[in-house]
Amino acid sequence: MPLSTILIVIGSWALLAALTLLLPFFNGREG
Amino acid sequence: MPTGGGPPIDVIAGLSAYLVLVICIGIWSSRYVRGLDDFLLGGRRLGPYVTAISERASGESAWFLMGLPGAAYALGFRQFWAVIGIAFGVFFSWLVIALPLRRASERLGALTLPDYFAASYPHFAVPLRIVSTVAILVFYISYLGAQILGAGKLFQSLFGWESPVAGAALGAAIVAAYTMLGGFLAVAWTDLLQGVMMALVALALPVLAIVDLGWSTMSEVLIDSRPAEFFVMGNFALDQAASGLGWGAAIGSLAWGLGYLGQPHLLSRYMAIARPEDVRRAMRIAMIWVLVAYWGVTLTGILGVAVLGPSITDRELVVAQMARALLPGWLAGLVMAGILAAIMSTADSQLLVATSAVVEDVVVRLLGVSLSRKQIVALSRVVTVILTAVAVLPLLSERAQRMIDTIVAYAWSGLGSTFGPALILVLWWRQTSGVGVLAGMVTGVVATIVWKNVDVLNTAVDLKVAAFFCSSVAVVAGSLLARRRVARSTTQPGTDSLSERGK
Repeated sequence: MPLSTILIVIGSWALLAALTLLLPFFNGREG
Repeated sequence: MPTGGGPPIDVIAGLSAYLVLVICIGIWSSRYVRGLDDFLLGGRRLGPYVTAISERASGESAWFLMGLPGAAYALGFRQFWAVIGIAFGVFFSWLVIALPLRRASERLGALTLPDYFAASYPHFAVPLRIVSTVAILVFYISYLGAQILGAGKLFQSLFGWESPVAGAALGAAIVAAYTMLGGFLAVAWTDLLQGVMMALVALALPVLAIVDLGWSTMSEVLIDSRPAEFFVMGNFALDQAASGLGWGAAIGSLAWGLGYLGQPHLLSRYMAIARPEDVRRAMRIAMIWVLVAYWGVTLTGILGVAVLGPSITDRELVVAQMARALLPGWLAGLVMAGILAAIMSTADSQLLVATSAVVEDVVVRLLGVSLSRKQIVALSRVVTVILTAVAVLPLLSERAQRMIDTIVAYAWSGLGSTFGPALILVLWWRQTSGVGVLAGMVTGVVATIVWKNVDVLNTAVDLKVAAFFCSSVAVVAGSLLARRRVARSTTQPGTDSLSERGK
């Protein structure tokens, strides 16, 4: 299994998981 | 998957239990439907869990448990590009659209997406409403037909029926029954059940596959049965466009995520959440669903090569066959129900959006018909049934079936680029004007049709990226050109008041 595949599949998952956990730091705005 | 004798009794039992349950949810939730706002948005009283799981279940159609794992079974790890694009598309949509749309739609008294555009630009209310309503009706009725045909094909392969029409009629009758009875609440609560079933299937199957075969046997079998391309995400050093391994293919797959920004049946979830403060929590729940279900279902397809062998006859049934191989009969029946759930949870939401376009946008707003709360709920129920028939009847003719396929091929990108750029800019860019929104919506539809039919364009830039880009440019250009000519409404407008009719 190529390392790039492992990095992209697991890396994108981890990035999204981290963003989801960090959500309270984003603030929405009314349009 | 038997095609002769039909499935064993325990599979039928699992499937029937699910179907009875969704009908019961329809009957139960019908008690809460008193006005049009109840029927179309559940009276804006959804909690964060129901909102989040309902949005996810509606967002994923038959493609989620059939198309995607089937493609992963055949093509391998490169399918993760689509998964990554979709996951970030869902994330971005919740982050950028959900909260401002929830607040603005309540402030303006908007029940549908056309309502929201029309109320934001009262001077352009009629053309905005007509363009958005026509786009919704054309795309959603054919989309609904395609989902119902998908259900028909699933029944056909399960029970060995000769044609998909009987199964389609059965699926349509069940979806129409609970949607008609309970409206949005029935759709949302059945979605909750359906979404949980879908995630459980996606989580359980890869784990069971690894436990069953053992890690080392599994990887050996996988490597022996598929070529090296199966395991790579792309070969970007060379021009590999023809093999589907170049940058173009990766970007095209990632671009599926753009579609999430403009799907009215998902945007209505954001409008329906009870408290704006709950949007963030709902977003987190939706993202956990995405992280579990998407990666899980793609892995299921890939591991299917090891569990089922490298050449099953119908790759779209890889999840169904994995369930039969790894689970006891009644649980496998629930997995089949899960696949049906993926189809029905999308179909019911699309049916409701099409109903809202007819009742709210055409009858109440454009024609100005004044009805009591009771009458309007009755009308909505009748329209729900009629629209189901309109979507199902063409399935009897093969020529019409092909036409549905053609329109559906435009639908995802068409809806995404028609509504996505316009909506984001209305919410976030104060200078956006009614002219800009109108230009963006028309450009979104036109660009999708042109790109799909001109091969030179289609091979140069991916359709989804191009249509989204053209539509965005049109909104900005139209807004700058028509700047300051017409004031924008941010409160309930007098000319297009949405608060006066019998909700």
